[in-house]
Amino acid sequence: MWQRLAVGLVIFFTLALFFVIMVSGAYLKRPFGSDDDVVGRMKEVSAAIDKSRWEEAEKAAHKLDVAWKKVSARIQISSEKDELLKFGESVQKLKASLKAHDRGNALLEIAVLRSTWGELR
Amino acid sequence: MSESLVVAVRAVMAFFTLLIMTRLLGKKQLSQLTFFEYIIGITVGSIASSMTVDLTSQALPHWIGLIVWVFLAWVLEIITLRSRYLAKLLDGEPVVLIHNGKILERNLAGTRFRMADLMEQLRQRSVFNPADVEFAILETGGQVSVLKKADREPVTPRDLNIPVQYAGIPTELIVDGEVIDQNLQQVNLDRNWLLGELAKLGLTDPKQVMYAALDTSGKLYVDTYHDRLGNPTVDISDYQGPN
Repeated sequence: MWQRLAVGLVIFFTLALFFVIMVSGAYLKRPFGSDDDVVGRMKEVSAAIDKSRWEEAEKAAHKLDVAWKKVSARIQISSEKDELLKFGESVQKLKASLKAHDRGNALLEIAVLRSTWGELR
Repeated sequence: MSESLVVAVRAVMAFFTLLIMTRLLGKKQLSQLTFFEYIIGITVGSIASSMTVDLTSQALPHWIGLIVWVFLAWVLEIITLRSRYLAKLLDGEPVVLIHNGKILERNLAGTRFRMADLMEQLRQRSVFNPADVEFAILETGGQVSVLKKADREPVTPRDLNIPVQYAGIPTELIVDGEVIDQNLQQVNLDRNWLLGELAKLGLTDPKQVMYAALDTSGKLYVDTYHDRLGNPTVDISDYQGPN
């Protein structure tokens, strides 16, 4: 009786653990420190673009890249590889747009980043 | 991003989920599966493999798909256990293919079973002439069960009224050098008795024994790691090369 219950509990907790791992992305993409706040960095870049402060925007984009690398390593188990690649690519495109002071493309990439970020789980 | 790491983690999750789910589905052997259950097995395996290596999609939808498929298979299993009507509807019924040596062509055609398939199945059951068959029945799992005509069956001790001793399942007492105390207790014996029996055979330690079992007539079978077969032993290899 107790053995059956123990086996049942082990099975339940094993399946529950797998489920938690597979949905962990939604929690793990949140910032745990000062250098992995992707959403905060995106806002910084966006605000700098609005004020046409290109140097400030470039610095924020660099920090966004650093933050993204940390977060992507954490959520890679639960997320789609294509979404991760898409986000990383958009960050690089954003950096290039800021370097060229291309406001239109920079805003476009920010929009893509926000949309992709919402898809990441 | 380490793809290999992600694949490894996903593989562990798929492996253990599949293990748990297949245990849930019972102990049916492959030969007992109906065609549909066979397809379910293939589909579930395919989902597990996608979950492991298809990194373009999340693991969760695959995992949910896996669990739902197994759950539905389990529900069907329960339904067929409880309702004979639905069991017939879902699993089908055995079909007679030969009766009294006569092949029932209509039944054969209805099951899409070719004559060559039937003869192959008969040969596998040591029947080379359909005339020797009283009944050949195609089971729901695709196997053919054969009942030979009474005069084609081998003679048994019962036919000749010869008394035979009861033969049950032998009780394993030593496996891989390890004494199984639980089985010794079941037959009301102990280690001292076992060691005494081994000593009679010149064995001082159960570790020398690969397998020992007690049959229902009380005879102890012992196989040691050291096989004293003499030289030369029988060589059944028919071609040179590594064994």
